[in-house]
Amino acid sequence: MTIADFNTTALSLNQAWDAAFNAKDHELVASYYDDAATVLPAGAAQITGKSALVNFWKTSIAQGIIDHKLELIEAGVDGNLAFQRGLWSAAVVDAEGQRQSFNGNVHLLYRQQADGSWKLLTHIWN
Amino acid sequence: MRINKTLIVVIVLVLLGLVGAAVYKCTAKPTAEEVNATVSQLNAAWDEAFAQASAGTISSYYDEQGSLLPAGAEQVTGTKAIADFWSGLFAKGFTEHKIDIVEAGLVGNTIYQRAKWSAVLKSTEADAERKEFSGNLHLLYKKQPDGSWKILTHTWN
Repeated sequence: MTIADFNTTALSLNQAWDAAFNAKDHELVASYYDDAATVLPAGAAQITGKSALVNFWKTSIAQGIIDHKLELIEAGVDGNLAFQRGLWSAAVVDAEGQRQSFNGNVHLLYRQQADGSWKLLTHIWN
Repeated sequence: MRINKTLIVVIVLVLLGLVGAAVYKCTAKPTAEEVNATVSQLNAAWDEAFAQASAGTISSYYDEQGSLLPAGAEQVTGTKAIADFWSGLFAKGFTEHKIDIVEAGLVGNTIYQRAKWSAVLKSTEADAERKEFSGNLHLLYKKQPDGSWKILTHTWN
């Protein structure tokens, strides 16, 4: 797979991830991760494995985080491994109805699965 | 003569076996222990350059297209910009950086490492308090034409 091909893949992976998160579907979000995947959250311990990730995204979504958006900056591919560096943004609406926006950098590492699909192996942001 | 022929056949088979083993060892995928050992050396060198406050040495550990994804700042790409970034942190008094590997893996010409980092801020003010920082770290390395490994992306929070 060329870098140009993976760029197209990364854009559609971002859209699917954001759509699942914004639909508050934590099971679907977790389905985008490899069985051995790890999330490296800002300000919390690293989380590995499917059931732990399902719980992590369930909790995150329950905290009222909305409008998650991933933006690709650069992607690269090496065999069955690919990475993307980009930007993320999201928002929360507090009890008074005030919207607060957050954003930062994001790095995503993908492993190609036996069926040819790409799933997240590591996900770190700040 | 019959014994000599048998002996020659045995010697040839042993030699073929040795050559085969040598070829396998050279082309086999490194074990997890070997990858971890490589990454531990890279971490020790990086931390040492940080302890020396050597922005030049640190920036030499990055691929020419390497990027930093700093916490709370814009992404930084390229050797010169990366040297300037670390130089700025050294000037603020950051020191005692330590990388603790959690897991590493190798695929093709790529190594990834997830880890924890910690560092200390010692202000230049004489009576300033020592502040400790820590978080998660992710490093992606690209194998160079000379066989060395350099950082392609460096992300922390």
